[in-house]
Amino acid sequence: MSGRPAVDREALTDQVDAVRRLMHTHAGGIEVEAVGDDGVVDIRFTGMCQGCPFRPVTLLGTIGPALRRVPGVTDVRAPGARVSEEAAERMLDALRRDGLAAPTLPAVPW
Amino acid sequence: MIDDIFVFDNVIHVYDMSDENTLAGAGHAGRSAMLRQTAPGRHPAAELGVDRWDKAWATEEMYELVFAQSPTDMAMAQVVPIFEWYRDFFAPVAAQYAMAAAYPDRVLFCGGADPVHQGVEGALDQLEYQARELGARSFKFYNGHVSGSWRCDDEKLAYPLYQKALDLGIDVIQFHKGTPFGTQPLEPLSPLDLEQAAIDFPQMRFIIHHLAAPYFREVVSIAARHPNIHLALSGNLNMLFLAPRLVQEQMGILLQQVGVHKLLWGSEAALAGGPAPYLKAFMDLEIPEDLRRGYGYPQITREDKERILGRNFAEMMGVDIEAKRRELAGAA
Repeated sequence: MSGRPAVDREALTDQVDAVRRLMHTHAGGIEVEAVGDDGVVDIRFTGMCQGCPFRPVTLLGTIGPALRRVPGVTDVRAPGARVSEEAAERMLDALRRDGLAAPTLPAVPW
Repeated sequence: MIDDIFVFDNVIHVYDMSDENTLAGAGHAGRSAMLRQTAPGRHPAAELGVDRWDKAWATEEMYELVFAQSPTDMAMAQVVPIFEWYRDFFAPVAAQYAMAAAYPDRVLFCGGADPVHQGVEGALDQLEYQARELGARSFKFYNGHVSGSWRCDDEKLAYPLYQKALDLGIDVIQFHKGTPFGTQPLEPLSPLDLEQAAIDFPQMRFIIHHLAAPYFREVVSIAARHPNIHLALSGNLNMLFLAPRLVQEQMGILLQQVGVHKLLWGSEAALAGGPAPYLKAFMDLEIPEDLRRGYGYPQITREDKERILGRNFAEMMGVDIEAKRRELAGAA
């Protein structure tokens, strides 16, 4: 036992649905691939997001902050959205400057 | 194993470049071109104990090169159905099967056929024979030839092969892409014709070899967007000595845009030499700071190396790594 709180699966599903609806406005989406015991959530991009070069921005600026609000979630990963720490910090700095680092999602999915 | 990482080599070839298997005239020119193209990238340490390259490799020699001299745990021996210069293919069916039969605990057999050279019906018969009688776990195709090229999305030539493979219970097929030998035309070896095939056969997993050089950017885009397209770094990591910067850049893009779960180690032994020096160089590989800062490429981790060197292909082939470790340790 790690003592780490388990991921609240119901809350995760609700939050993923909320993010997905947001992304559907761009004909994109996400699916949850796996949830680790360490709280790391592996997702995959779907729809128009597949192959998009801006996946890291979407993950860092929108999906990651939204899903990390779910109790037990420690990190969010996705193939095609992995960047260096240097690039991640640079992007987050820019998003923070513009007040976009942690977008507000409705508590209840639309 | 290297540094306690299980090494499952996606691709070795038991070549037959002997005079007996090489066709007169054009065959000798083709063989010379192949030897010229492969020699410069070979690290001297990869050539240890090899007397000559233009020969029919014996299973024992291959074992020595791949398993005894190198920290390889398992490998797949793949047919190379190049027919324009060789009587019985560049890497014949019988030689690959013999390798798998001689070392069944370590080597899987990957068959191969050609729907133009053998005709569609002949190729289908071969796939059935190789799967049912020889235990093929995958099939390798080579669609760009000096004469007799075909497209991977050809519904009459290619699709019957894929359907046959699925009917035989084989859902992993592989294509040599890019990297033409000698005067083989480049265009049919573009990976672009695998997109429609991947869409039309979603239950099939397609492995593209050699990063389809020079179509690297194209193959990155394809593998990033199609969930059933995977990439074998067959021979690509051997460039670590000749052009380390190239490998660092390619690996950075692959980790960033394709994802580590889709990448497979392939040594291309025997023609590339023994895998040992390349495996060691890969373990030392890092993505340098300027590439991390300038392009956002992530640093490669030990977990990445473990996946690339064996775990990804083991999962694809249904090999339980821990059980295999115990089995091989018990046999030693």
